[in-house]
Amino acid sequence: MKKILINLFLLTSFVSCPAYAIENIFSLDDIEPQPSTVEQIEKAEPLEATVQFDWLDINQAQREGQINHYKDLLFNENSKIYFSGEEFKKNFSEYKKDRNFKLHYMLTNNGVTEDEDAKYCAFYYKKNTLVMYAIQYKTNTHNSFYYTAFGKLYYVDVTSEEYPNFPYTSMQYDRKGKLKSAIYFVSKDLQYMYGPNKEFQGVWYKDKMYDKNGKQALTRTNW
Amino acid sequence: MDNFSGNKTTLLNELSGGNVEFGEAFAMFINDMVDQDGYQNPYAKTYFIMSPSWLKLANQDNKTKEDNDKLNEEFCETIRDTAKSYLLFIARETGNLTGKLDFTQYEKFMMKYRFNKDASRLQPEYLAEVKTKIRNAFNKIISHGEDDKLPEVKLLDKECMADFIAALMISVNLNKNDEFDGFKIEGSIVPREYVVNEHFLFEAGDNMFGAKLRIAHKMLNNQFE
Repeated sequence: MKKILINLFLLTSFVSCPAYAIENIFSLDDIEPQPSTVEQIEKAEPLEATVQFDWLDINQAQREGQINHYKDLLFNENSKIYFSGEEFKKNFSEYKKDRNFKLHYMLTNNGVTEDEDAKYCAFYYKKNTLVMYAIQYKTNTHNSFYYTAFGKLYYVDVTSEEYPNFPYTSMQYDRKGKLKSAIYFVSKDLQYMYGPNKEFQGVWYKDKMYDKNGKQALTRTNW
Repeated sequence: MDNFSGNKTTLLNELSGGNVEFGEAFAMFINDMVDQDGYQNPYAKTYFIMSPSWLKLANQDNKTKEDNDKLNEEFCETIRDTAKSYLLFIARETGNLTGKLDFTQYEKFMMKYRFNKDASRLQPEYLAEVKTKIRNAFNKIISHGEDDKLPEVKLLDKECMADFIAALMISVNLNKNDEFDGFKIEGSIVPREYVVNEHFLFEAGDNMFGAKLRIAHKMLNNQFE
């Protein structure tokens, strides 16, 4: 960082100052380091309410009630759920192919999760081979794009305006604009998942997913 | 049920257990190992097909019969899984619906992924040369390394593809005097070895890669005593 600042200082000095004769050149050691002008921007934490997870403690009727409650929140009249093929193509045509797929594949395969342009996530087949990577560009945080090894778009996540504040919704579409899943993010630890036909798939609480009967179905290593 | 649906079911049955994204990743890895002319990409990485536990057991001295059986079983299963996945990806890219590629489909795939890295090179004379190479590769693979004995039905199926992938993982064993001392199975595909294998794959007639294909075929079909 210090090296970059020094280089920037030299560059601006070079551009803005007139040329000097040889006898006027001075050593870098004589220059006092400039104070950093880069403001330290504090990263705001997303707004999140404290939520109780009681899925395992309530009865089946109460679970059904919660399932219907979150389904209504996700699939209401005002939700933009389905894209037509043309609409999807129009909105996401520039992301159809990742032109930097080799770079992004290499980054994610080497464990990079973030750089100055985007955040990355890797998906492996049998813990061995990276088969898909996801990109969330910092200039477009309401969408995440999932690509295969050759940079072909596979899925698109569309999050609601509230993101990154909770609660928010996330809809996942395939490359033709067909809805694949809908998730209601109550908090970082708690999400309700539904399929494209509004069928309940499960509730994630931290690293475990539970089905409608309160039975554990899946686990995850990263949330 | 119309013919299209029937054929698509055939593809899924033929290559059941295959994962098309994995096949694509595999294609990407080996494609990245060479440039248009078949020279090694200096930035390409070794691709590990076998698991770390397999590699660990394979590198142990004094393996028991059970150890060797276990290694063999996992090797064959992994190779077949990779072969089906790779074929599934090729099938998707070429519009194949049966899981068994004919020459035209194989050629289409190779032109799109292997020989299109530098499109400016695709002049008629070069194209003719490339098509000959692809034909040699196809013949070598479908004949399991015996390209003077081509089968009647000229299709590249999952058995052929498994032989090809296994052959990529066979390397020459040299003794202390740098003399040939048989073959050994690696758990990975190393770029510098892939370059050599590909060169021989594209060459007509019997050669080292043909020998590797024959060994791979026998190995995968338990034809070694």
